[in-house]
Amino acid sequence: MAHALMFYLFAALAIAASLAVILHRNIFKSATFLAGMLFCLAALFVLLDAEFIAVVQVLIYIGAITILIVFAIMLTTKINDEHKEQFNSQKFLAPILALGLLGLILTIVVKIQWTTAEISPVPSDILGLIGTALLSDFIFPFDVVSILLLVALIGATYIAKQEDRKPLVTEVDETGEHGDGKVKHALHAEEVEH
Amino acid sequence: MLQQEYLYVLIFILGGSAMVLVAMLASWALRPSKPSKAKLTPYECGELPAQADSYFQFNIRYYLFALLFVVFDVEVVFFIPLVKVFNSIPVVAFIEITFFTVVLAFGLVYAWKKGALEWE
Repeated sequence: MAHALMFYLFAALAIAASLAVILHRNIFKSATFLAGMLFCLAALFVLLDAEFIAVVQVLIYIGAITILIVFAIMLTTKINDEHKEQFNSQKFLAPILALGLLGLILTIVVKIQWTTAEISPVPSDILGLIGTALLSDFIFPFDVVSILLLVALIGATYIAKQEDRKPLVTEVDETGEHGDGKVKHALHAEEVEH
Repeated sequence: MLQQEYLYVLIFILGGSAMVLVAMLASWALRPSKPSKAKLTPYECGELPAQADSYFQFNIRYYLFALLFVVFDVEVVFFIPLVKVFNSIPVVAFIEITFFTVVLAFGLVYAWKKGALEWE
């Protein structure tokens, strides 16, 4: 009973937070609501006895991904404007498509005969099982992950250093202090690089 | 039951929220209400604030640091299960953790070499 109550509480909170993410006018606050929504998801994982996924959810999604999004917002000029138009020209087509997709999914959910499988209870030492699997059957994917992370690291460094080398044209435009000469110079630098 | 251990987390969340709420409500109930324009200016030590808008564009370098953080955050997540089984399969676990760390350390050395960690 308490279990079901907690599930519905966190599910409702997750839906409310997701709605706040897309409906709030301030994009920074949207990011904050996203963190809240991800936390509700972590709580749902705990209710499903998926403890490790819950921890990863908090550590990676709230601790890292949301931070990246917040950084991206802070790195962008004038994105935090509350008077910006929230909908674009597809505001009529998009809901129709979304409703169609919802209809399809609902049809499938209703038509399928759901049977309850006999699942053995989750073993208590799930973390140890994951560790053993990572070191036996999945040892190669595990090594590949390190290479993948290395690629991400080098790529991020390369792009960030590239940003350093050529000044952004729009930035020069907005300050207006440097005049046209600098803008042309920046464009020229870009041409030379290509 | 696993979830009962998480009752503590719930209690902490409720307690933390309650502390903020009680502090806000208590000060709201106790303080006199005398609004003035000076009170609405953002606080900056001693002086009037340098700029009216606290929102400005941050340096792109912060993003690189965030990305570095994310990569090593993911690394730690992969290490948690390995540490759990370290005692049962120590040799393989040690080799794997070392390999993982060395590969990522190579990336860090690359970033360092490229001057991504320099702060001009």
